[in-house]
Amino acid sequence: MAGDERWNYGNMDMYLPQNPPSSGAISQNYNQQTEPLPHRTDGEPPVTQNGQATHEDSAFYLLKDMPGIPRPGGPHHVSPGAQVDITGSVNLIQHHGLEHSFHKFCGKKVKEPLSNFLPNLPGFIDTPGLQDGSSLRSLIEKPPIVGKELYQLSGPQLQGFRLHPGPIPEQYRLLHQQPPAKKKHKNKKHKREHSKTSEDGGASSTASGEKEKKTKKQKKHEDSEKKEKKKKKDKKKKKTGST
Amino acid sequence: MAEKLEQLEQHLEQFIENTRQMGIIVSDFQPQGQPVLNQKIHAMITGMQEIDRCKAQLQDVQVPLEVFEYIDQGRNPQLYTKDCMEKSLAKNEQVKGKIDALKKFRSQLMLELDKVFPEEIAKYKAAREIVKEEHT
Repeated sequence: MAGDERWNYGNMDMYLPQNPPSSGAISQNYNQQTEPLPHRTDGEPPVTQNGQATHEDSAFYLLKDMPGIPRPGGPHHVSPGAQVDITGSVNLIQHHGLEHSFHKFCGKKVKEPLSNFLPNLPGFIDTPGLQDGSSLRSLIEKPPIVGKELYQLSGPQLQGFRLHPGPIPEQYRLLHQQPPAKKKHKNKKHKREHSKTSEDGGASSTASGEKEKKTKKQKKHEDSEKKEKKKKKDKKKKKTGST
Repeated sequence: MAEKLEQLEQHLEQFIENTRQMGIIVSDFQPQGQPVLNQKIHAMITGMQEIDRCKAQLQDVQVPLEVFEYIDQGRNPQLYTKDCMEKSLAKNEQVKGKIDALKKFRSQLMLELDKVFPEEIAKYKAAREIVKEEHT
């Protein structure tokens, strides 16, 4: 058959190395093919004529270095006093001294809105940047023209900023509005505690105000409960209607 | 580095405050407010010049792009740090589990190979011990 010539190993001898390595790390024929080293029966590596144990000439071909313990003279040789390679078996956060940061960010609850990170910024900053074209991504994709020097405006140039008196149209007033100030519930709790422990007579006005707030909260809670009950009823009706 | 960032932060806050005040003046403009508006425009240009000067000192500051996605969504950028730390911890634990499993496999393999190839395993252990002694 054509192609049988491929399988004629006799012709391939000229291309093969004189001392071909055996497959795998363990081979009893390895010592026979390489330089004849004195065979030891005590399990220790073969010794050269100098009397030193040679690991490179050991009976194990392709023996890789143990992690952190390389062979001397090898490609990844490290001095004996050097630090062992760090692996994933070590707590890397502890190793790099990031425990405090980890507890700071992951231990406590980090608030979701951007306004909690930047409380002093005016305007509505919690809205997505894509809505009003103020996203940082657009700044990266279409960077503004930079490199020009900034000069103060001269008198004639400032004439262009002379405005007409009167209010601006309503559509532009929303940009200027501030979000409602967030009420701090902690202070209220402290106030309630102080009001209870301090004068009772003077606390009547604050108590009435607190009662009004309580009734409002109760109403909101009741409304939400009613809505949930309605939703459940609607779901049941749909199920019974489908069957 | 922290001082430079604080300085930039101050300049930015002043600039934003100046812009906010200009918005108040312009929202209901009166003729007597023109000199004040001109002054605010001057202050805005000096603010931009100061921010531009800060740029040279912060060339080596690197910010990951993923933070911008959080900010564009109106979310706290500290959540990005929190997510990074949680992911790194989870990955650390995952890798540790793999390492432990491979260590157990290695010890089990050595036991079984010792039963089948006792002489070769003895030679291998001897070779490893010599390397360890030399390293220490």
